[in-house]
Amino acid sequence: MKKHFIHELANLRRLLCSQGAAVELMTGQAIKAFQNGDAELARRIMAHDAVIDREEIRLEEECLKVLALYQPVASDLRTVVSGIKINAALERMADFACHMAERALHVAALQEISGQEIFDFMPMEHLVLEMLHDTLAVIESSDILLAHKVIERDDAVDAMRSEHRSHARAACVLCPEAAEYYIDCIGLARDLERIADLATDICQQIIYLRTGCITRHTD
Amino acid sequence: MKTNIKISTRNLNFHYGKHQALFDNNLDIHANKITAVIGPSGCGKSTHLRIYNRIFELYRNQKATGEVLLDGKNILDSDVDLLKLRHRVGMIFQKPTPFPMSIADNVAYPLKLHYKLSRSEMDDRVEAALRGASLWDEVKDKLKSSGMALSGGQQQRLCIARALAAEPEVILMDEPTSAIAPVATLRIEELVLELKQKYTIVIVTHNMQQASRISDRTAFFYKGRIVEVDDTTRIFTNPAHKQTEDYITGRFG
Repeated sequence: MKKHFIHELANLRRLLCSQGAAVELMTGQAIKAFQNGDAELARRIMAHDAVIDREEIRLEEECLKVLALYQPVASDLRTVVSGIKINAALERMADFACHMAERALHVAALQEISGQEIFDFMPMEHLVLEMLHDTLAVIESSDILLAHKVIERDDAVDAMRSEHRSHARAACVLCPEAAEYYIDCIGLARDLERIADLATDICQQIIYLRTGCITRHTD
Repeated sequence: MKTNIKISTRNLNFHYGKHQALFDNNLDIHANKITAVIGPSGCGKSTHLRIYNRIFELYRNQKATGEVLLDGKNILDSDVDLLKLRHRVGMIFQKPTPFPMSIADNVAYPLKLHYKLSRSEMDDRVEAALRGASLWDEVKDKLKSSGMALSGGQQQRLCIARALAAEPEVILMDEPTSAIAPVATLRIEELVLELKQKYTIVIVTHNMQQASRISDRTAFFYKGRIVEVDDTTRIFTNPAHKQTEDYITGRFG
């Protein structure tokens, strides 16, 4: 019986990693679609969200099955409960990637206006994708040190979002005709910041899984 | 909130002849709480329990040393009246042990031993004990039938009624549901939860889910030593010791 259970836990982790990889890909592509005004890519990303949603339900059902059949306790219980929460966080990340794709569609349809400043999201994109990538490694390995390193980077992402927002507001004043584009830029920065928040939540969940200590809301 | 300690064992050791079965057990049993004692077979959990009412003394060559303080008084002292001790500390065993007599006489037995009561007082106490054990409605029309004719779960509740009739302060339960069907087990678990309002309960169980369902505190025993004792929620979500973790997650034992 124990062998089956350990196999089920390994399977849950494998499913989470594969869902995480799909979300990472969607996020990277969504930023690319926005930057390049690529409507076709944006549509493909939005269509893929249904796959993520189905997988989220399947993962939750797996977790519930393990709870019902094996009634796990201690670290096994924390693994399954964390699985449920991480699964939900990954699905929300995919939703934010879709929001970014929607913004990309909108930006693709806008006329370029003279005097419009094109925003560079590269540093923020780089940092968030790096956090996301490390988060997947944390899910796979339960590496607490790496989890802490991800969490530490969240403040820098928050600062970048504030900077983009102030910058976009100022740009609106200078070139009000391009306001729609700037509003989308504010939205994109917000979506990236929310993805980083969710990566932080996942890492805190892994710390709980490993140590039994709930670290969120302790700042 | 101040915790009332009903039983406190201090440096408790136990020998079966030359074989030492318990090593320096220190354990506080909280009043009006359910304490579960868990651990693999042969770890000493039943041995520990059987010291609380000195029932081990029915056998030869068994010796307990250290202290077991019941409301502060060491029950291992030689001046302790065993009849009074067992009146205060009742016990329920793994297999139901109804006496070969009627249902009513089973429950009346400890009353006759400890009290001088009129017939009507006796009847009232028997009814109260059977109600306390959630058995009254099932047996009220056949009080004169043999206790042996009841189902396993009913027999165990009859034994609980018999223990309650003596109005004990502590009830010891040594795997009280391991010989009983699942539905009957749940009824007994519900009963145990109700009983903690009035009594202090210590339950030895092999059933981990049972320990987590009904107990407030859990003590994990291994090879005669107490590895860990804590709130049950803590033990079953985040135990401090790896041995406890490995045992409750089924990785050994």
